[in-house]
Amino acid sequence: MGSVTGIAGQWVVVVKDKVVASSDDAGEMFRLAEKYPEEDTVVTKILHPRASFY
Amino acid sequence: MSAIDFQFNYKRSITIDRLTQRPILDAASGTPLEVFHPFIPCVISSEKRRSRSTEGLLDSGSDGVVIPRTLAEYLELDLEPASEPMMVADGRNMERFVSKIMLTIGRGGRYSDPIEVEASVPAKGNPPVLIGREPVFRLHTITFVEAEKRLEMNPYRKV
Repeated sequence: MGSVTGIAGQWVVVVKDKVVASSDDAGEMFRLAEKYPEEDTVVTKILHPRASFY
Repeated sequence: MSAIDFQFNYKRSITIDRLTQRPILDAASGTPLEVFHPFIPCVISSEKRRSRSTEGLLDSGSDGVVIPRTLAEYLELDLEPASEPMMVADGRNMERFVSKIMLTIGRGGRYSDPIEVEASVPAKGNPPVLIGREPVFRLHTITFVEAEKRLEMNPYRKV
């Protein structure tokens, strides 16, 4: 997946390059993603531009 | 492990501010801020479940693989308290759990063999999938071509 637009910090379900759902809960997004064809679907997180991690 | 060379473009994101519901702007140009991160496509599996395709952030500052707790719960992982807490970059200790997962790199029908990984699961927080050094950086030679916003991953071969 090359490009995505979404709310900072949220998990999104992307189907055919279009965001179809978003949530703070990754598990919820992975469950929802099961409804879409596997080959068209990606679950990813929108990082805040100034995010830092562990 | 199957030896596959990968090349991935960085993921381009335009981020919407939670409060204003508007794109975060580039301070210099006033246009929506584009950010690029070195995510790689992957699938994460447990003995019980297999995720849809997802993306992990290559993070050389992380010792290993980190997944959020809500993903661990989705995968129905057996979480064991870690013997040591996770120390984050600012020196704080964070309670964590550990569990075995299988990490498969790739997408679109082109995948590595699954790699068994002991993943860390922070008790709090909502990190992305972080792909740290062990074992992915040990098993691959990874080149970040920052100027072109892409990376190359090749199975490590001793010369």
